[in-house]
Amino acid sequence: MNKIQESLNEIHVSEQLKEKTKQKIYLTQNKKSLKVPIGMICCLVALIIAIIFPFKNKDYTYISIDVNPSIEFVVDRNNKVIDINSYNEDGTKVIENIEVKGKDYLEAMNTLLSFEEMRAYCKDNYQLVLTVTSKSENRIAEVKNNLQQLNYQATIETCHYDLVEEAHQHHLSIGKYCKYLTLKQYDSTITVNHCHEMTMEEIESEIVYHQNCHSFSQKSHHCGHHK
Amino acid sequence: MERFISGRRVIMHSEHDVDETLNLYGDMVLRICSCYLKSEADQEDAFEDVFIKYFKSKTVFENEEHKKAWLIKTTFSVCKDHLRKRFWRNKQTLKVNDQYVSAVLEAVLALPKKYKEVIYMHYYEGYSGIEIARILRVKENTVYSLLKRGRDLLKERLGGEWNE
Repeated sequence: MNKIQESLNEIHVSEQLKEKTKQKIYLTQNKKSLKVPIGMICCLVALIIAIIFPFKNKDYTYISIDVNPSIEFVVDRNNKVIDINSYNEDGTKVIENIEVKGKDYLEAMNTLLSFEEMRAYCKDNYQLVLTVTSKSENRIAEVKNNLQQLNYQATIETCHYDLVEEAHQHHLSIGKYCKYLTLKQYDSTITVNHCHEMTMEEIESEIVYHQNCHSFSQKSHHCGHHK
Repeated sequence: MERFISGRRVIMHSEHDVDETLNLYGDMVLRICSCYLKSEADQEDAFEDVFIKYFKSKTVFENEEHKKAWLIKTTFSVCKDHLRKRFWRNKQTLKVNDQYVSAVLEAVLALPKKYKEVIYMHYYEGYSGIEIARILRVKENTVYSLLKRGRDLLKERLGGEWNE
């Protein structure tokens, strides 16, 4: 037995910690089950309102903000954030503590990125990726340009509007979904479930790794061969 | 176990399954947490988060090995998240009885994140380089490089006897 095994073997989880963990899990379970009937009622009300007052303005722009928290703004043509969604637990913790609905999207972005919890994620080498999509190419270019003016240390990308529905069906933000599709071109074994567990930095590292491997193999034809 | 949440069919792990998994892998998860987080409170928070993720996970495990690998990877990921959020709390000293054993754990704690994972998986869990590469989804050569560098760093800090 080596010293690492010796030292780690000293560590055992107490019955108290196991019980505390189970309690926390069951609390999570009960919170969700209470939301079911409320969710159904909200859907019914929304349906009734949609029938009586059909939406005229469906020209939405989606802006996803991905680090480890995965968050998405839905912006109308008047540049107002009409909705904010999270696609993972870290994202939920952030949006629960900020108010951005009704704000101009640039102001909302500043509010989000200057929030302490969010700033903590943007330290070290963690990659902040903002992804913009809309039906209109002009609109995408305009929003991208405005976001660049904010001068955040972020990569600003765009993607095709048609991917929005697919992304949301997989419970991924549009930005993370586009990264997943890029990675899948190199590694067909990657799945949406994998991406749920990965940060943007990890996905990007894998893409860069495959791209380097690909360009190395074009020069030397030895990539992937072990001597 | 199937549940309907907000109208969607979701496969969730049963209470019995969570119980079993806690008993089988609880020690393992806590050991990994102690390689990343010095503070007992942070270790416990991370421990809870791992099992909450397990409970909510939609992953269907092919076998016990698959489940174990999933838990190891998830624990690495949760610990890294906690490290980011609570870096200032990691100044507390780890409490383990034997002085030299404590020094080994401190040395592992001090390793950069990328070395911790391979060192833990190889020297504690006994995974081979090929297995580690498969689980962490990196190239085998990368694993060997990380193991070598991790070993060198530990040797620098502890002398030559730590892996006997």
